[in-house]
Amino acid sequence: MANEILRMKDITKIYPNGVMANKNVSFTVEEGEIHALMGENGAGKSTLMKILFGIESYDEGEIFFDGKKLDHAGSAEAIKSGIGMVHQHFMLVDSLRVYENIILGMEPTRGPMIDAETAIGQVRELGEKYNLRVNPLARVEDISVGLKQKVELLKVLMRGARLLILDEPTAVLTPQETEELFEQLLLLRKNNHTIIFISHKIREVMQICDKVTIMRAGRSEGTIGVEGTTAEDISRLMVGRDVILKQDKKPAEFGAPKLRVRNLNYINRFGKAMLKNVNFDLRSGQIMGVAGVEGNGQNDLAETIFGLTRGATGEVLADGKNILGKSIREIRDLGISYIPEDRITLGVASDGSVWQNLIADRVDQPEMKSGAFLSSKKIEALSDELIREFNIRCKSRNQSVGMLSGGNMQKVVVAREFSADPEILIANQPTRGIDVGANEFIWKKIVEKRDAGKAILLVSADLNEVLELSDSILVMCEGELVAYFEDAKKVTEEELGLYMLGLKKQEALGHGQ
Amino acid sequence: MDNKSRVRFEIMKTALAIGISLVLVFIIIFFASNEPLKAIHSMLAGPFTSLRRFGNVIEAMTPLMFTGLSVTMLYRAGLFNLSMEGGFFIACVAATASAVMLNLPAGLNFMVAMLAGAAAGGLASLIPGTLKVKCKANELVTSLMLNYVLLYLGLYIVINFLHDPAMNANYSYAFPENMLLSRILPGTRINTGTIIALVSVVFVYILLDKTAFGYKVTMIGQNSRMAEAAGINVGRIIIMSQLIGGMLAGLGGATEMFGMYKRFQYQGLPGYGWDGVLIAIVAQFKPQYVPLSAFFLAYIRIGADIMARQTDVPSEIVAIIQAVVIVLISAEAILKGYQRKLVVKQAREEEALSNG
Repeated sequence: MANEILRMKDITKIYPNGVMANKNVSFTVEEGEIHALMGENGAGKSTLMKILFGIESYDEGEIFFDGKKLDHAGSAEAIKSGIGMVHQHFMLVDSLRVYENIILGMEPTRGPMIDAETAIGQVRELGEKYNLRVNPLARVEDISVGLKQKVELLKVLMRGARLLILDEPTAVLTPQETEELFEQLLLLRKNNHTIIFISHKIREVMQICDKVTIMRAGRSEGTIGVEGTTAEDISRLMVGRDVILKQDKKPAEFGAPKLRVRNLNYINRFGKAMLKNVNFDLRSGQIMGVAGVEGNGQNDLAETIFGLTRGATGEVLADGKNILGKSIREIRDLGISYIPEDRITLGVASDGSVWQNLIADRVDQPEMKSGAFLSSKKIEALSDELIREFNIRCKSRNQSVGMLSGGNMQKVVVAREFSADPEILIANQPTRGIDVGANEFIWKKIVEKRDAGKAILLVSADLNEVLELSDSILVMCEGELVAYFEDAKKVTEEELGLYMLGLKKQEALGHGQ
Repeated sequence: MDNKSRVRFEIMKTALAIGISLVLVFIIIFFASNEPLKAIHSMLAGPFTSLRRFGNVIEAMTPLMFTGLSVTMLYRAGLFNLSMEGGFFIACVAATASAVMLNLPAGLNFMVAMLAGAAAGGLASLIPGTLKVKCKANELVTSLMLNYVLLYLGLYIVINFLHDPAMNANYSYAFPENMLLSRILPGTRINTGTIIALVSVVFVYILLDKTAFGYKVTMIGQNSRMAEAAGINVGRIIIMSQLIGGMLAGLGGATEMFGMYKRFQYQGLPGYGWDGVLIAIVAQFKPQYVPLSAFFLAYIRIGADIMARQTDVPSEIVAIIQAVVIVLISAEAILKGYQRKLVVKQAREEEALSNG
């Protein structure tokens, strides 16, 4: 039996808002293994790892690393003991160079000056050793997401980490980049590093992990070896029932175009062209998926159509009317709804109650009022109905939205936007970072809308979502539409990847279709 | 925490803050005074020793209610600024000008003067609001700078156009007798201004808690980007909030002029705007608590005045109470352990419930 390197014993963590994120969780990792930590979002995976890394406190329990007890004195102690963490959102200084980021806080010096030569040499050497080749002199803002992740890994390795925590490392990568990352992880394992791999993608876990610990609702559901286990076994443990990872839907019946985008161009405030001559039609009864590596204009497309981004040129025609430059109120009144990419900043007011968030788009409508005043009776009835219909798990309509889990927060957004009964729905990453149950539910609701003849623009970085849910698929690369597939069933994930990375491009896309 | 325990927690925190500040002041009095017990007694019980003194408390709390409401209105919309200070002052000037320069029939003259005050306060506070919406200028900075512009503009107007040459100081002409608010309790100077203030409390409460406008103000204060994405016209609501907030301060200024003074006498900013911030913080930005909070501040101030007159302790000691209360109420860390205990206890109970 291999050497036990980490033991977390009976960890309990309660957040200041009363959420019990970890309940008596015990977690053991052996040296030299790739250990997956799986669970739906809000299951407590990230919290457990933040506790291990010393950036969250815990209320009960003990942590032993390499036989020594760790106090939670902060991440400095964790780093010193040999624990490193690559966060989901990279912790890099964009304006600094790669090597500067890696040596930050542990600079080799010559007199009072930073010894850049030695530092660059160290970074190169480490990169060679682990096959993580990044130009040390490049500025972080200029390199791709995949390379940034390599920089993060180098940063952790430079600090002598023997246990690496990777928080959803593949969420932002293309299929090709993911493969590359996996090779690097296997190389790390060969060098006797231990890796904790947080993920909720079962396929990836099956591919490279040795063991998997599953968390559900703040508890550990146990650790099992990956060999001899099926994906269904793991998914059952994750949600407590069998999940359908596929979306069944009737064949699409496309109707008349509802939204026409013509020659849309947008240059952002840094002078970068985010949308280059985009043309397409979105028809009724159609779910149009927009795929692409993040930052290639998909978000700009969604925000421009909905009026959140100003300054684009071209035309966006809804029912023949150009909505470019109209206010969000006017755009909403034309029957367009929007599920934003970032629910915390654009989707909800976290301090507001569930009911306050549910009526934000319709507070001026007569259905919310009696006379000049808001009718609490009508608002309460509507809120309770939406809470029931969309299965929002909250104590009451008066609970603050910030206290709900990510999935339930998203359901608040979805309930508001769907109940506005839109003709056109723009769903920008509608299921990002939420649990499988809520994910399934939102998919089902989107398909219902499509079956009712509505038009849906689905922007998603999750290829599985794009492929499963869309009727047709657009691919964006560097602000351009590089591919259109009328029938989403006729394209594979690998093929999409080639277009997303700009390795392939359909010619004659002048008109979208 | 649910709503009930949050309210309980906030009340405990406020009570504790007041308690600690009083204890602190008592300790200082014990060291500094030759007659500490008498000083403490006259401060705490002083306002109740005569009707006139109690009247003083009510009189002092009236302008505080107006500026407290003004701050509540603005801060609920997330507009952290101090335009109510300058708004209050310039409203006093405008009301004075209207009262002494216009020659209107009695009732009308009064109405016009009150409206002139409210309008001046509203306009003064519109400036930082408009600059924020149109130019994205920070409203705290612009309103602070504007306050001094308004001060000297006001003094200029009073000295050059309203000055009564019969007075040795830079006072204005006296208001016509029929302009003065009528006294409602003999033996005190409590006047109908207090009633106007209380009506304003009800007005702001209904506006903020019962109307679509108030809902929008609250949502913008909580997350303006979300409000914008939901289709709320954020810029318009911000400007409206600044206007209403400024008008409340302005109405307060006019009320103070005709309730407590016979002519304009200010030589500097009276400070009611700053006090409004304290009032609103202690009231947790809820209009219904503003009268209570204003009463508290007025009470300790009058108490301290009485103490200063009867003993050797100066009334400035009130500043210590104010400072400690503000620090304690706005400090997140206070009672954190207690809050943590409440949270943990509740989480455990729910946990037990959902398992049982």
